Amino acid sequence: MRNRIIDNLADTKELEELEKELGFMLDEYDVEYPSESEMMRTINAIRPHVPIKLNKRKVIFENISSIMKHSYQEVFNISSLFWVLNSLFLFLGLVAVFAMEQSPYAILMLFAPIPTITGLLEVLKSRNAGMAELEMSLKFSLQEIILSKLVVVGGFNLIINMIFTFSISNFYQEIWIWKLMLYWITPFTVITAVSLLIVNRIRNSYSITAVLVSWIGIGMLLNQTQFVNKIDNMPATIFILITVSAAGFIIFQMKQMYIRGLTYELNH
Amino acid sequence: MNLTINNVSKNFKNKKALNYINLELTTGVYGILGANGSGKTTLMRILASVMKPSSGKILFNGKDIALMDHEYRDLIGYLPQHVGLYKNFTAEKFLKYIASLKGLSKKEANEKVNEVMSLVGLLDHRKEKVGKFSGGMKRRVGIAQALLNNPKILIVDEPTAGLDPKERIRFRNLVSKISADRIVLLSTHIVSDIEFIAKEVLILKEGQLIKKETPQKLLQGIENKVWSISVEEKDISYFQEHYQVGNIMRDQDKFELRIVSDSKPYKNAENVVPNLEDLYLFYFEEVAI
Repeated sequence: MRNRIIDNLADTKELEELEKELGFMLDEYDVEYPSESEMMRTINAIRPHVPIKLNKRKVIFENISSIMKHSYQEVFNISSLFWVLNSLFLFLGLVAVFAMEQSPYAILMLFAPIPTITGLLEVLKSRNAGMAELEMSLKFSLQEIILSKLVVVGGFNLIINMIFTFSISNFYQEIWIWKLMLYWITPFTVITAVSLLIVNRIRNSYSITAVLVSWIGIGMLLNQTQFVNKIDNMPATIFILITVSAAGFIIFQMKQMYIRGLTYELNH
Repeated sequence: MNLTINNVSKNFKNKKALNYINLELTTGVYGILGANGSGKTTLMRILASVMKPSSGKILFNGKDIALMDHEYRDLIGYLPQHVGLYKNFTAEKFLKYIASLKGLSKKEANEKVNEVMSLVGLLDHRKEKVGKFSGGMKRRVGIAQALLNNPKILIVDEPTAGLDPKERIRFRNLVSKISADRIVLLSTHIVSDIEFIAKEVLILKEGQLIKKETPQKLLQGIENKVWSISVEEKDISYFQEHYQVGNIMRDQDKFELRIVSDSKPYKNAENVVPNLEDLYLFYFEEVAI
């Protein structure tokens, strides 16, 4: 309270000094000094044109909640092929582990980012369908639409990976659940980061095929015992470091996309 | 309500697509006329906030649209020249999706979708997939989506391109019907699209606004420059080589040519009342569609 009074007094003193200074500057002109009420009228007339200071935290919260709300609507607009295909991948993964006795770690690592890669086709659908220009002009902007779709795709990917993790850990008592999680979280975050880079910079559906093919190629490597042993011997800190870096990159890319926006020039 | 375009320019690498455009638009239909590459689409994209100008500002009621951001986008309805639509969506689902992106609540969207579908005559086709629609029906879906938020500014780029004459007439009537209390900007190189509905015609040439007048005033400007002559078939090529020839009509064994020229092209030539097609020919030196 005392501090506020001191601040107010300081402000008043500063205003008085400014007034004196301005008055002095006006002395050289033959202009009648405006009255207090005239000054107030001018200030009140200008007030609506002065930008209101935004509450950043409130704005961020509103933006995120708007994207989340829209993500819910996007769930019903995403092609059924995406859901069917990825459920099939989940099924194949489980078959590989339970029926073919493949290493659950390697299989989960291989299947972990596939929904996100295939989901990119949905994320870039606006551009492929020739809708991007129209969507850029809508109240809910193209970058918000893309982020909403990414939330759906990423969220679905997380759910699938969780189902996979808990199904395996329920049947295989010897499985170390934290290791299993580390094995899917790492490729998932790395591929999500690469996907965002594609969405943000390349925006080409061929690049999605390239990522998918590359990832399957890596999957072949993962199946080789030699390579599995190398990964097994890698300290957990390296996995964590890669995951944290990729997560940081994801946040940076999302922020950049949201702030910079997507304009026609960036998309063509 | 006014939309002010202040010194707007747009450069693409070495090409100047728009060169210091200055305009003041109020409610009514504005027809933007220009040949291909004149900057019509670039101007429309900038007004639809899809593209940013290289320099200059656009103000809506005195506020910079770049600062208004989504507040401005909430006021506009835009139909780009090339729009793909989501082919697997039914017309109703597509419009409801766009309504949600325009910030309409579910209840508002349901009402508005019915209203605009009825307005564009697609209510009976609401459950059909957009991918199966004809070109004209797709354009109607395009117009319907632009109207969902009851826009104060409606921007339609080459809306009648590829439509048959019947669809074009239907579209013109539709624009006429919806133009009250809003700024409608319609870009075209088909003069008949705007001849009777535009409050003013803006003529763009090589990125510059060369005229902004009512159609009547524009036509007054070429009043003594449109001629009609009757010639033999063998003489047509001579006139085509030396003059800007518009319509060529067969009249029994002769041909009637419509020529735009400052001077009388032939002793038998008669001065005729100009129309917007002649105006197009006058400014762009090519035959209007």
